[in-house]
Amino acid sequence: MDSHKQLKLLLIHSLENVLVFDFQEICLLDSFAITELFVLALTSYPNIKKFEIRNPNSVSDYLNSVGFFKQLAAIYNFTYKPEADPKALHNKGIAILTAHEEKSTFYAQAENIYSILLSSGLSNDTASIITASFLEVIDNAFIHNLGKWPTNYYKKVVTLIHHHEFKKEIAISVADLGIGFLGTLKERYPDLTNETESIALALKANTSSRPKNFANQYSGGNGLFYLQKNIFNGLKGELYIRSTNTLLQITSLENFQILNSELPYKYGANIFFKLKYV
Amino acid sequence: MNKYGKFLHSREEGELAYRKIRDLLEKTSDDFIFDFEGVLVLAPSYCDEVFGKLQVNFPNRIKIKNNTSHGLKVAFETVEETGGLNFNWV
Repeated sequence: MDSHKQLKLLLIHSLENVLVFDFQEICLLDSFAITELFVLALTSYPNIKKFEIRNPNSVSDYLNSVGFFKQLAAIYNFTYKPEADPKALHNKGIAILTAHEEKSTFYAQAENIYSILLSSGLSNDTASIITASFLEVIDNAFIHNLGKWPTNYYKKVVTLIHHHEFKKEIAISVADLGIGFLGTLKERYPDLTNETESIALALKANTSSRPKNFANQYSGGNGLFYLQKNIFNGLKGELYIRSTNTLLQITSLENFQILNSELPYKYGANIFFKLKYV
Repeated sequence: MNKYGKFLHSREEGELAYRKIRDLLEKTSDDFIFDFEGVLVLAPSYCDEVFGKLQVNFPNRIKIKNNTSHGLKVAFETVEETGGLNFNWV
């Protein structure tokens, strides 16, 4: 998960609102790194009018094939046309990249994602759990930032679902440009001082950003707990959480290690999980 | 439950379903059985919003049927563990 060093090499802002992507040193980007790159571009360089792709390779081909540049350009409000037709590098399995401002747009995809997972050979149970996990993280990204997005420009959620057929693994990354875990939980838990403490608290069962006594004395909080149960007690996999500048790997239920606390992100969170199936 | 959809997710949708079910429960003293035949996906937030609240506000009046899918079971287990609740199964 040292992909942020790669991203620094990849992204260059040149003059006249051109964003340069240089793939010379880049040989692999996973789903997490791709959504992080998307967010890094948007937050670091808000006024881009053109992309320049230097040293294109299989990674840039992959990004083209999932519509990375096209969707990023749409947010910047210009049309991006690749020099060559994107190669379908992910035709063995699935790869879906989406960036939206409204969660209803993601919800509309739920049935499609479930069907694709089934047609990729996953069981009903596995497809059900993965779809529910994806929708749960999306729901959290919008609910926790409701009325709190830094500005309208930042009201965005970016997701990438990638099916590694030969690994029998689904990798899902859900990144938002919102206020992060500390910003979300600080109101209800004023003693929190940093992102690590906030993520640690969010991992625990029944941690909620909602006010106490919400919903007739009942205030559950269970999205991340559900995700941990599926990863550590069920399907097996990995879970990483970045909130603003801090990245943790969740190693078992409610336990974690800090991977980095000096990342170049002022806003947002990224939930990245891999689920293995048989 | 499949009249509420095959994909049950989000707290907003759960809140809408909860209100409809709550109104029905308040009109009678009968117990309610919720049949999950045909439901493909159940997110824990929806499950929490509907059945967590029902179990708290109408204790022992709801029962869950045909929750045979592992995906659905995990959602209920999550709500039980996070909310300190125990659902009744048929």
